[in-house]
Amino acid sequence: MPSATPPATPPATPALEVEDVSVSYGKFLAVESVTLTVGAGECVAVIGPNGHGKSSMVTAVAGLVRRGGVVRVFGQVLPAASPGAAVRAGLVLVPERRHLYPALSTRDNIMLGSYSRTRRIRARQAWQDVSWVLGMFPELARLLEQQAGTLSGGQQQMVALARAMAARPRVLLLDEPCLGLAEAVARRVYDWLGEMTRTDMTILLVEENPVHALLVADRAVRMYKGLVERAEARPA
Amino acid sequence: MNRPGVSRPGVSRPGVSRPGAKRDPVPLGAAAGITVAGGLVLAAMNGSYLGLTVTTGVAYAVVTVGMVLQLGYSRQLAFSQSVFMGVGAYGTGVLETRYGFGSLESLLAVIALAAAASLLIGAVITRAPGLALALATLLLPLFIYQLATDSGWLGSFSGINGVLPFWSGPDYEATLVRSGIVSVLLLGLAAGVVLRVMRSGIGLQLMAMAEDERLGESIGVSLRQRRLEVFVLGSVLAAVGGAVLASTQGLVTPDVLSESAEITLLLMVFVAGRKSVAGAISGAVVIEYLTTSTSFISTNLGIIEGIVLLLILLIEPDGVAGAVDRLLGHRTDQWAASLRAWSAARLQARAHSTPESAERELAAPGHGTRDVEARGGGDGGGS
Amino acid sequence: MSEFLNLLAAGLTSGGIYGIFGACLAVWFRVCNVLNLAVGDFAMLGAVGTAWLTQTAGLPFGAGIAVALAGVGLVAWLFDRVVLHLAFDRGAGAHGIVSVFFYTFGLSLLLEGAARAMFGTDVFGAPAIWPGPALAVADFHVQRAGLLVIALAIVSGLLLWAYLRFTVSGRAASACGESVLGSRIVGIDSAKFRRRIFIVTALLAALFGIVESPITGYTYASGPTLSLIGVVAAGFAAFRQPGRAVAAGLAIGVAEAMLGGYVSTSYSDVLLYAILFCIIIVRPEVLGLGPEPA
Repeated sequence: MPSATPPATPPATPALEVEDVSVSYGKFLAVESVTLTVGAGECVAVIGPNGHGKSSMVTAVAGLVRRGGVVRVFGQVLPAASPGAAVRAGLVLVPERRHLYPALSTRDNIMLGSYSRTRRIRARQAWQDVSWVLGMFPELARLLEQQAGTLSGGQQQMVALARAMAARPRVLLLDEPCLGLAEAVARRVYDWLGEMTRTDMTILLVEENPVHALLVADRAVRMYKGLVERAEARPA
Repeated sequence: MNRPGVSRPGVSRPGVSRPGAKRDPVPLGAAAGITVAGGLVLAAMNGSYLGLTVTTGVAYAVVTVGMVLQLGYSRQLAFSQSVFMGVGAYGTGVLETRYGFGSLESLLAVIALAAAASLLIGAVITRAPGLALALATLLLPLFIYQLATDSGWLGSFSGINGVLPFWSGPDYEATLVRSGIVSVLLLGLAAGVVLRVMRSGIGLQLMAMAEDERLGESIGVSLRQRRLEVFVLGSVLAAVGGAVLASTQGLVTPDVLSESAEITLLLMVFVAGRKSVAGAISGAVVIEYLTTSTSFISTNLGIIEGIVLLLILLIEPDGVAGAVDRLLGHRTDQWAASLRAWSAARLQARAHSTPESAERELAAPGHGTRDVEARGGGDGGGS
Repeated sequence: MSEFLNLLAAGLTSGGIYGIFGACLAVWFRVCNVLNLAVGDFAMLGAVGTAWLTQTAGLPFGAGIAVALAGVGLVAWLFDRVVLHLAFDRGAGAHGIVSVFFYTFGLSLLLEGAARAMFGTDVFGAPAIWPGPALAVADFHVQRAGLLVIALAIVSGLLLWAYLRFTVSGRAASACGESVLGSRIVGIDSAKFRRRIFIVTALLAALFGIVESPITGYTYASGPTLSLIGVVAAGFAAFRQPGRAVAAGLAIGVAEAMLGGYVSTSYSDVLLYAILFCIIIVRPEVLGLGPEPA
């Protein structure tokens, strides 16, 4: 009897597919064409010198600037200019320089991370739904009532991460998470990132410093002049 | 003019004054040009009604030139120009008719009065954020106008008559032309002063301050002092404009301090171009002509003003002068680029002022400089 | 004593208007960092529009109010959809401190001019919602419309405060004004918040105009002074806190009434504005404005 060929296992849907994405600001082409794929649970670092389109690329993937090309999250196509849709699909961006709400309290900053997904009307209830993130960032517990603008850079970065986690992301985009932070705080951020990589979270990390990135990344992709270079560095 | 290493004529090296360096000829040239050209125009009009309108426009132009510095360059929101114009006009009227001052004396006195008043107001308010100044000066016309109209001493609603012209002549027409020439001379001086400030290191500091106050502070701009200086200069120029107005018309009425006067001034500045001295001057003259000449415009003034202001804000925020500038070339881009280069150079100089900061710069390779390069190189698309 | 109470009642009435305008300004500024200088003109349109519709065009009272409010809502929606959308969503046009004042300033000029063209220079008073003579308790008299204004001011002030403080939507609205990018990242549509709150505050202002105009009477030119006092009241609340703005407005109204009653009727306004001016000049910290955003 001829042996039945075993049914091919369908390839797992990649967590994030970026296909031929381009970004222009007026006449200036920031990103010429980026195509990359991030598998579920992977952590991919995007490295390369500043000013070559890394930030523009992730910002566009998150739906914050107009882009050409296609972005898919677990197979679902994301509309081009809708950050809300991206968050609802499970794609959350932690932007460069954080962009918190300085006059609002830490609690409100974190709670608003879940804005797209919450059905709550009262702020207190919405907070109770997301207060679990304090488990990841216990140092924020005593800072809840403080205005976010008065926090230190490192504390603000924690709040930004907590805000992102409040949206229960499946794919996390981080743009230069340690920009302007002291070394000790950067280590704290990377410790947390390391823990995240051990969960089923998918991470796309933009980092200027390749040493930091390769601490947590499974692989790296280099962007130069708006394009992804073919060669991929593998951690030693 | 062809000495090596010296800036090209018409472009002053930002922020650097070296002994023996060529003085920037533009302010003086503009002052002289305005005086001569204006004088010729007024002589040609020979005291006609058109000449009167143009001279009235010149009075407003003195004020708007100051507003270019305040509103256009330094983005200082103050709604007090019409009030200071009133100080100038009423001051001239009172001093000349009740105390027998001559034209020159009353002009100097009015300048001193405006400087003192604006210093007093500005001394405290410039410590606070700009919105506080805006708020305070919004209130100013409200009670000053009523004070003027209620006060018998200031002539109540009819105002003060019998203000002396700057320079009398044998008859009405000649007086108008001669006084007009003096007015144009004052305008030239005002334009020269403002241009000199705009094109100096202080001018760049003002632009930096307007762009980003924290950046400005970090490169050593004394915010409070600059704000105060700009406020005082703008107020003094407004007072001079008021004196010119009073001398031209021979009388002072409370309209000069009303809210609608302030609105007219704002419109002149916005429509003509709030960053351009030439724009402010031509705008003042043209709009003064338009508002007084056609009855269609005066009856529907509110609607027209509103629509024009909105169109200007949306389509061409730098006004007609801005549009002209864009068509003619990229001078303002050059100034903006030199501002960026200058402030970046200052930032780098400051960043390396301590050994620790220099070390930090080395540890994070090229972060600061690359940002500057990226800004300089990649800015083609952004505004 | 009775004179004091009567003055107090009158002061609270006008103060209620100033306060609610201040609250409207504060809430909207918080959302988009723009001051609505046309708030008084919206009130004027409500009052004059209702009066004209009921008295000249002969509509029944309820219909007159409804049409006037609908008209105000339409104007507000159009202004946001055309001007503010182009200015802020498309990035066209002037920005920075200029945009804080001048877009709505242009609107105010336009509305005033249009009202003059449509309604002429007459004085209008909408019919009273709660008709009848002034209520009297011993020697204390208060106009019924005045009581309505004060009650409405307290209720709407409380509602606005509660919205901002306790609801997710209110927190999101505040976030819009704090960080444009930060709010977009979490999916907040700041353009929608800007538009909705602009329309709501315009309608609220129009309603107050309708309720209060039987007492004072409105002309096409009544808007700017009201807007101005509203801006001052909001200023004393750092342009952020509606509750404080209502309190500031009430204080200004009472001060105005007291100055009119005890010092001088003809100079009460001059004194009031001069006092406010001096307060702001000498003690700008009272406004509570923080350092300006970059």
